[in-house]
Amino acid sequence: MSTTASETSTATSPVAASRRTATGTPFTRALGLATIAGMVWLAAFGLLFSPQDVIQGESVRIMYVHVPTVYLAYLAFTVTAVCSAGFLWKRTRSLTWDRFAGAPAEIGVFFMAIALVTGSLWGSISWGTYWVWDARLTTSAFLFITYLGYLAVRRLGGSHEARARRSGILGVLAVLEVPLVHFSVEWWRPLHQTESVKTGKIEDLMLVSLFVGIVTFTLFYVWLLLHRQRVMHMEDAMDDRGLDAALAERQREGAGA
Amino acid sequence: MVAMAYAGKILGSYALTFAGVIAYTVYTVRKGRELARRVSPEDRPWT
Repeated sequence: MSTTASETSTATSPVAASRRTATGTPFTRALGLATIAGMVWLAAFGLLFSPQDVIQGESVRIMYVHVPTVYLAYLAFTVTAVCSAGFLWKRTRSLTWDRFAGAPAEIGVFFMAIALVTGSLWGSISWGTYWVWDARLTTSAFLFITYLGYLAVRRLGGSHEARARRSGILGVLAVLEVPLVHFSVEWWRPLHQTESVKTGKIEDLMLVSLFVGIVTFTLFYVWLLLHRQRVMHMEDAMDDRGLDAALAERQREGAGA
Repeated sequence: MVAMAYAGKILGSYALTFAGVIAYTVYTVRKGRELARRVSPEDRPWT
């Protein structure tokens, strides 16, 4: 059977091979395409189709990126806690749990950073200031800093098991801040508005736009989670290989002495 | 359609969000490709 030149070069090129088999699979590629389509829809709904709000005017358009990113940060931190518990429980102890705990924490920090910035821009229009130390904003900032600390703890060094144990404990405890942030608007009645969806303040195209935002960012979250977890898996494999090489070298030195 | 009032902040919030999404995506894909070249196929069970 004959082979064309282009087939031969693709089959033998290590760069092309690594690109095909890096962290992507047909499922993640489909997910990525769906996310891109969702982002286009989100921009169209958020900036063009959605009407302005009676009270907030045009600034309500920021809600379609702000609220989904907050929701995804909550989800990511909850997944971190569940997977941390999965590692800490002896019967299910596996480093896969630890990687599925670490990846969403990183993604959650990313979404929380976007939420803080977009919320600040929204606040500058609605309240006339970028930041106030009210209950919602303060607890949100505290949540963001806590998970930055969680990521720092993951990088402290030591064995993978030690990393998983110490960050697992932190992951289970840190999630307790999520309800504190979410219910802060009801418990302390700060400047930040209360929830709008449950109270029926949003309807029709505004609700559709918000829904498009939530679906799109959820797709992106799943895509990121799979890729980041696979990157962490390869980083751990590289660490193990480095450790094995160092041990082999020590043994050779010992044998030679 | 976004009116001129506050357009900079509204469009800026979308631009920042999408720029962040693109930057994080590119970083993740590049990191994955770089590591994939250095680890053995057994360390990539999803492939």
